[in-house]
Amino acid sequence: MCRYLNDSECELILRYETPNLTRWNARAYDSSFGYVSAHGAPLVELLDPQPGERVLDLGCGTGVLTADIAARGAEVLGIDGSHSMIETAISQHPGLDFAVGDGHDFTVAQPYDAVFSNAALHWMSRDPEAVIACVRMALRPGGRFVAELGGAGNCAALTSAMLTAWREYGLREPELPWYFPSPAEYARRLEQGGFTVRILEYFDRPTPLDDCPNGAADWVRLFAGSLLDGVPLATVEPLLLRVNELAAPALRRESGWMADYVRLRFAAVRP
Amino acid sequence: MKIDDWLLDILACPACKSPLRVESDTDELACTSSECGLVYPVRDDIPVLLVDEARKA
Repeated sequence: MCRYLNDSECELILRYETPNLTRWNARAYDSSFGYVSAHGAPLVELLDPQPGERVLDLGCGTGVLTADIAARGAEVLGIDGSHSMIETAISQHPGLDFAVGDGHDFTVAQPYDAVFSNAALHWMSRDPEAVIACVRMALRPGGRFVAELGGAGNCAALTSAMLTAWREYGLREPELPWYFPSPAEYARRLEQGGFTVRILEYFDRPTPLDDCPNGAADWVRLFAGSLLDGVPLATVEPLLLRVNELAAPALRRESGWMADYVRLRFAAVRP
Repeated sequence: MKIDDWLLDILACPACKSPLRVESDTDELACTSSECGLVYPVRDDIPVLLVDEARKA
């Protein structure tokens, strides 16, 4: 099951999307993939947290942006589905509050002024409506929902290289674990979920995979590792090499590998 | 187990939305609703508010 992680790391199980379990390696996530947080930093500007405000960071990961929000004087609770992520978050930000929870059914005792989420909602793919309903319940009237997630077409070159390679090796087409909605689709869900959409942006964000010497193959291991569980051990290496070959024309530059990220960013209000 | 009082004040049962209380004997967080009665683990001082991982009281 865990070819790339050692046993202790195998315990790190995240369940944003059942029935697929996705394994995370919090250390690799922070060191090699700090861009998930770094590129999200301006999203905190859109949130514009005020001193004393209560903010819930949904899918907080290792808590980098949770700490950023707290530094602006807000009271923040970070929730993530991964115990490993929360452990890291607590060790790196000891003064802040974190809990393990599922975006599909989290509940808070008192309503929040804002719910914030960066690069996490696309992992909560089982039932996006349930997630939006939970966010609404967690907000006071007038409270805001500010988030960024992968949008339609996110990682299209990466995932199409994966699907082709899987097919070439005679493997069953993997069910990708993400939810990458179009702007229209997500706006409709927000409105049907009782939100007023104030801002909605949809943009390309080509992102260097700086610390990914093996390019697309490394990306697959980190972000879609669960899909390798069903692949015979001897096939994994050649399969990932093929993913690299297929993805290289679109994503490999002289300066290194780029991921073809597409983002959806929004600010919505609970009336 | 060290659970911030403040944290306990802001968390609620994901299944039925009732407040939680600390079960100090077993280091767990119990739902205060007797009808629900789910008990959530606290691992390494981290509340795990996942219905799948809760046990019935």
